[in-house]
Amino acid sequence: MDTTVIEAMDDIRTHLRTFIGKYLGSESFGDDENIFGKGYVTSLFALQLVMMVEKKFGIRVDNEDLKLSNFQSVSAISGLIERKLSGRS
Amino acid sequence: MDLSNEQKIARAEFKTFVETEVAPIAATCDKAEEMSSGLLKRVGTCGYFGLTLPKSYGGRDADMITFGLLHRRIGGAWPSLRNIIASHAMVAHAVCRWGSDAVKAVLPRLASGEIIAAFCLTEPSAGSSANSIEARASQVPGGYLLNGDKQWVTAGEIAAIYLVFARTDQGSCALLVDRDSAGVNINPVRGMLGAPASMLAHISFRDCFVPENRLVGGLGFGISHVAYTALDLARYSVACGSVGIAATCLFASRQYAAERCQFGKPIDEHQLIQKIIAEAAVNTHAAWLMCLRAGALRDRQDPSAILETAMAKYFASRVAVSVSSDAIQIHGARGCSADLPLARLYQDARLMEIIDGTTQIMEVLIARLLKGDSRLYGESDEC
Repeated sequence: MDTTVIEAMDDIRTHLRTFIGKYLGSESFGDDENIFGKGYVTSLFALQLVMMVEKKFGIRVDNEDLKLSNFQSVSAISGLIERKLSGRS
Repeated sequence: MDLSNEQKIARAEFKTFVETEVAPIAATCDKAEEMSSGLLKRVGTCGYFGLTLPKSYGGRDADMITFGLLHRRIGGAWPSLRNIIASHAMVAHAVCRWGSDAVKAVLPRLASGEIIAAFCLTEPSAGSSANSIEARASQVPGGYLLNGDKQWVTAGEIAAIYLVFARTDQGSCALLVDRDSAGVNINPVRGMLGAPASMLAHISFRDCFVPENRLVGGLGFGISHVAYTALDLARYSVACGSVGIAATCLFASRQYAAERCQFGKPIDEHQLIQKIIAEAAVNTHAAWLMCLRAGALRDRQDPSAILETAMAKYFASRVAVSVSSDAIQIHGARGCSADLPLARLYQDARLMEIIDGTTQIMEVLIARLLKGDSRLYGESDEC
């Protein structure tokens, strides 16, 4: 994979981890950990996450994107953003 | 914060509409606990039901500041009407944001007010604890079978369409349900403390079939995304409507205090009255500025809009209660009379600390949201 692409993906994950981490305090979490299933984050946070992702990355989260598989972990959210940016979603 | 020319024109339009068509009938209709169907048609004709919806759906595509100006003006004259318009807007907004194309087909009828929509989340055992809802949507061929009870549904008695939240095996969901679906039972509610013409109803659903193309948003996202999108808008409306109540009461207080003479001078020259008026003015002004800021953030789709909307709702609703109470105090016995709108607005104000998230829930929400916002008097302190 192209290093530029890898760096961009890392940037997305870093940004997501920073944003989610603000709400978790000292709680640590892995990129593949189910952040909603473990009760780390709330419904309220979910809406903020969508707004942040849309504003930061200039994408639109549509009705079709509302699947648990797109939002349950940093990796999942990052994957959705990447697909949106590349026009594949 | 200056309004744009368009916003000023809209503000003048709303003022005229309220003064000529809303204010004259508010007291009578509230006493009868009946919303005027003729006025609701006028609200639709003026485009107020679809104020912020895109023009492609028949809306006016107005910004959130303009929405705030409308809800402040109507809220200051007739909170019952603001309630109904807000509840309808919640559903329209959620459908516009999260609906499939099939679901969005209803938007032109919502924009025009041809049909009224109502938001059905609260249940007997689930109020502030929205995630505790027990209504169930069981998947069956072609759709869902809905069972459950919803209560305190604003406009529930007159709505043609309901946005209903329920549990499924895959988490919460939001379904658009037609009033005339089999299994829908509507029980009007009367005798409420405030906004008595809000046409409240308790609604029960018994084996009510809802086609699958009436799902709004995905399974598992009903409360987190669809409900919260709607509630976020509702809180902004409540905040602006609360300022409306406070502004109306403050204006009345100032007028009366300048005319009423006791101990040889107008009472607004007595310091204790001056203190009341000064505090009311400062608080009302602060509440409005918070609303304007929340509106501006909403227009920029800034994630901080959620926090600042919650702050505006929290503060403005409490201001409405205190300023309306102060207005009655300043007017004395006259303030308790049905000849003035103050007693009615005092009762209406009390609701504002309860609906769409109680004051206590707002406090918890604000504290939690602040954890993730260093910009607001935090580390980066960009305020």
